[in-house]
Amino acid sequence: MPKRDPPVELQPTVYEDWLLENPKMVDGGPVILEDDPDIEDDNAVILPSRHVNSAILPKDYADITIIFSQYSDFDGIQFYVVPNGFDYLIRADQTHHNGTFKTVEGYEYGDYPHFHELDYYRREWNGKKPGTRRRVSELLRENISPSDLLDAFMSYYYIHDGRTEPIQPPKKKGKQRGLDEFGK
Amino acid sequence: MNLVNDIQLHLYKKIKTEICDSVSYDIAGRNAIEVLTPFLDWKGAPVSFYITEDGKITDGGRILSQLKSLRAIEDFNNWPFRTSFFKQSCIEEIRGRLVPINDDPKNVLSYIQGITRLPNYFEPKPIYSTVDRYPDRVRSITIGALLPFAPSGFPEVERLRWASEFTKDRSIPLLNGIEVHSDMSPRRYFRIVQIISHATSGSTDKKQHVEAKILHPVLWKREEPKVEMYAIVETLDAYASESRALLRQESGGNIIETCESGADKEIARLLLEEPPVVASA
Repeated sequence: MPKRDPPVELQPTVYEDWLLENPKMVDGGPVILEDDPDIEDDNAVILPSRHVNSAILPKDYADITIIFSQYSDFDGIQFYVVPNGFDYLIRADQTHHNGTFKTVEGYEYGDYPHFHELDYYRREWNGKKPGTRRRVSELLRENISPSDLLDAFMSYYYIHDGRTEPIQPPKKKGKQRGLDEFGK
Repeated sequence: MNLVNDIQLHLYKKIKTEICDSVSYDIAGRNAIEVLTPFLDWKGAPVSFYITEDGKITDGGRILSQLKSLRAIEDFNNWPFRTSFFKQSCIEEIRGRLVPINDDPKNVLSYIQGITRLPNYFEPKPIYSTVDRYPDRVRSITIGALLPFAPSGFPEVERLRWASEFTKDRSIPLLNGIEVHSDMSPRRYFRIVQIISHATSGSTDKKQHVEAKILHPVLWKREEPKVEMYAIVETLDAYASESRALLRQESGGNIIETCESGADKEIARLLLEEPPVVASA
């Protein structure tokens, strides 16, 4: 996480290829959401970060690309796929409170879960930073639970952790098992 | 005399306007607003914070949630500079949320800079397969190398089961009540096979892993001197010289590096080797 080097930029074509790659593997065992015992919100779960293995991203980026989550009281959970020292490549947002948004296909949504992709061909911020484009998959629905959002995110972007069954939501305030045992 | 000229003033105003214009707000959930700042976080994205409907400034638990997700929360909890950093940045932690100590604009500015910088002090620790799956990889290549030695009369499924038996863990109860483990089950009972993984972990984790693996044969040898240890490792080069020396010493040089060709056959040999014949009286 320390970014002692300045943020790096990926080549647009490489990034495009990366999104099209099928599949991407999640290393480090099954992807499981863990309860956050410090917060009294049933939605306050976290996803311990995983290494996302990609053959197409240049090694320097691919080796340090991770999927992780961040939770806030006001926006719910967001999942990110980021290379080290760089803005996210893709992101899943549980909510969208700020008016409406349009998807790449032109459909308009209000407060609805969606995915973000960095868009190198749409320049914003005086051309300094790439824009984003939003996508809504059929797997998404209003008031989606964190586990279903993660499930949809992983399915939509072909991110596999080797399992075929859906990701199970954590039991309320129960410590998830499985991660510690994995690989022993 | 140092008077400010028009060019300087023009540039100054332009930059000031740009910085001020970079601050904006969005509507967030629970009637809060999200204030976006021009500061960039560890991944190069703008940092934001929330103002609740009753006028409280908070990060909504986001920063600590990130640290938990990135498995850096323990480092943060044990951080010796935590108190002074919080004081310097006017940050308070209240039930998992980082908030400014009050809403004085100067303090809020320090708070924003503080939450922007905070995650930069900690390394993320993603879960890597190279740590966890190396033992599976070793077992897989070993089964492949064992199969040609399976009894020829066996059907395919039985041959696979026969080979898999050698690659299972073995627990060895000691007289003092402790149980030690071998990562594989060789024919020679007093042979202990340890798969050394964690090649891509941090140096401390790697060192601790090697020490933990060495402990089992050491404990067993105290009771039974004829115990012999075999270490299977991807490459010794991945480990510190201290760990390499420890492995060499305790294994008596019985180290198989799977990056070398023929390593699978060597593992199969050490598993299949029959126990020495004991001369009867």
